[in-house]
Amino acid sequence: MSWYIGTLEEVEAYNAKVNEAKAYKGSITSNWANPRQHPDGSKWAIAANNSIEPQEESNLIFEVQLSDDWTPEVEL
Amino acid sequence: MANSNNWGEIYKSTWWGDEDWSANSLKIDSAPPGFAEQNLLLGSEELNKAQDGQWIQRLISSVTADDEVAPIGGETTAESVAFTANKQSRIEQLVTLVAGTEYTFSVWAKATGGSPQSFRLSYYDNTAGSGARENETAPTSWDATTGRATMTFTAASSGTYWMRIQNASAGAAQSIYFWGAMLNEGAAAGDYIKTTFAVGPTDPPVANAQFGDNFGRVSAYYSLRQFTTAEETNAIRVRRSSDDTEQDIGFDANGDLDTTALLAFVGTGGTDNGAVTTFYDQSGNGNDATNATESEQPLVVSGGTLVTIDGYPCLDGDIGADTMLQALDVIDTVGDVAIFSTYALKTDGTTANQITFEIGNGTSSHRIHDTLGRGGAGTFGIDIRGATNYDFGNATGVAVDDIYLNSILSETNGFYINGTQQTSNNAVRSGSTVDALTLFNRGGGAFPYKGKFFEFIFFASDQSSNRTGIETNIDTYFDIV
Repeated sequence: MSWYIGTLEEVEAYNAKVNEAKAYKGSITSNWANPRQHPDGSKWAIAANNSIEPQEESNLIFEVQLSDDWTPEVEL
Repeated sequence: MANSNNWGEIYKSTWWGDEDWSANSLKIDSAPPGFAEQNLLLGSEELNKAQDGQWIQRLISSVTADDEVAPIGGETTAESVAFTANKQSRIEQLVTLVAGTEYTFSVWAKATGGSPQSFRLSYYDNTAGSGARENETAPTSWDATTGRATMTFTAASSGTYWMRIQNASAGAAQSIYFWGAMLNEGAAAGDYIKTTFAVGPTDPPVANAQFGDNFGRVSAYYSLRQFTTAEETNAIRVRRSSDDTEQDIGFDANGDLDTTALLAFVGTGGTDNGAVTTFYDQSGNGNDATNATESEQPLVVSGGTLVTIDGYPCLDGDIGADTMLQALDVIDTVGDVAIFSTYALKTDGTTANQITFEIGNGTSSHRIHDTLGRGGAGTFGIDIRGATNYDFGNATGVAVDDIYLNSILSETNGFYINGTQQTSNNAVRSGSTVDALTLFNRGGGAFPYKGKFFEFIFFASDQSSNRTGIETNIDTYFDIV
């Protein structure tokens, strides 16, 4: 799965666009993806839908996969 | 009154029903209305006999023979049946029925104490993989006329059926006298016919029932095999990728996932995916594990092909995103628990820190982790967090695509892999305050398990005495060891 990286507002706007396009018909599914914050708090990621591009004015950056620094160590 | 008319024997007919009749013919006739030709149940007054071919007991507390004078007949006595607080608690007998034939199942019932008791009459069609039930009430006194509970149904298949007398309450034990069980053809219970079990060798052993037919007090049961033959349940709710519609998928006649219905719904084209939106809790406790977010739902069909390991359907967490299914409010405070999770790796084991499940409240202070890769590549570990943290296990030698069973029990039973104890340390932090159960991740996400899940069974009770039996049941089905 690929990802878009940006601010919280940008990834939420992308998610809203996908949800509008999908118009889910099932009784359970109602959302495309949840924004994921980088462990250092500086940026956000959201799963990319291969059929739907971000808004033209968006500054989201496309990544084929998230780098390891997006996964924190398990807390001990 | 017992039938003394010898219906079913050869006699000169005075009742000819819908057939043409010749005054000079001898016929093997059917009984007229109100007269049952035959009681298809054996041991109609021997409900305490529990050998193969008799009244099999499932999750029963006790059956006491000859405990009460019967409602009719005078010289006979009734058995008392003590059901445990479980709707699967029952006695049952296997019969062979004919498709399209109407049958009536009946029994007299009376509460053993001063309060009416609830129970069910039910049947399960082993060919169709379905059944039906009716709730009944056992009054506090016998009534030979009106005190007979009855259930009429038409057999959908020709083959074997379980005829069941069972508890109707999941939350309360019931104690009831039963007498005169009968199954006859027709739309009403016929005159009672006593039957007995033959003396001598019994029928061949019956097949094992499902997990829930053997083990009670299950708090949550998620699996692609059926929990109990006593209830019709669904395994999963699936969203198909072609149009995002969803459908429940249940089980076939053998209690296995109905893969025919699944693939018919999802499709078998190269772009057809089936994602699991709900992993149903089949225990009846309502702890369904769900996820409303598409990109986090595990797959059960990928590219038009059923996801399997060794032929067993399973849920695949390797979807590239933050996979999880979550049930809220599964348990409030950890006391005695027992957890049995069955899964298989998909990656080569080099990815550390994949959390297969978490029982926790979303904070870091109270939770149970079962973590892949804690001790390095290809390891299992358990992380228990509470007033004191435990971090142990880390068994090595975990192989790709092998099916593993992890057992985690409270007190001194510790942590097991495939039935072998890894530690006897207390694997549960009693007193921890928790709420949610998360599969494929921790509650807060970010540690998706990229392997496959077959089954997850959770008991909020001590099951140390049942551990080997439970592990044997799981191993028998999944052929793990």
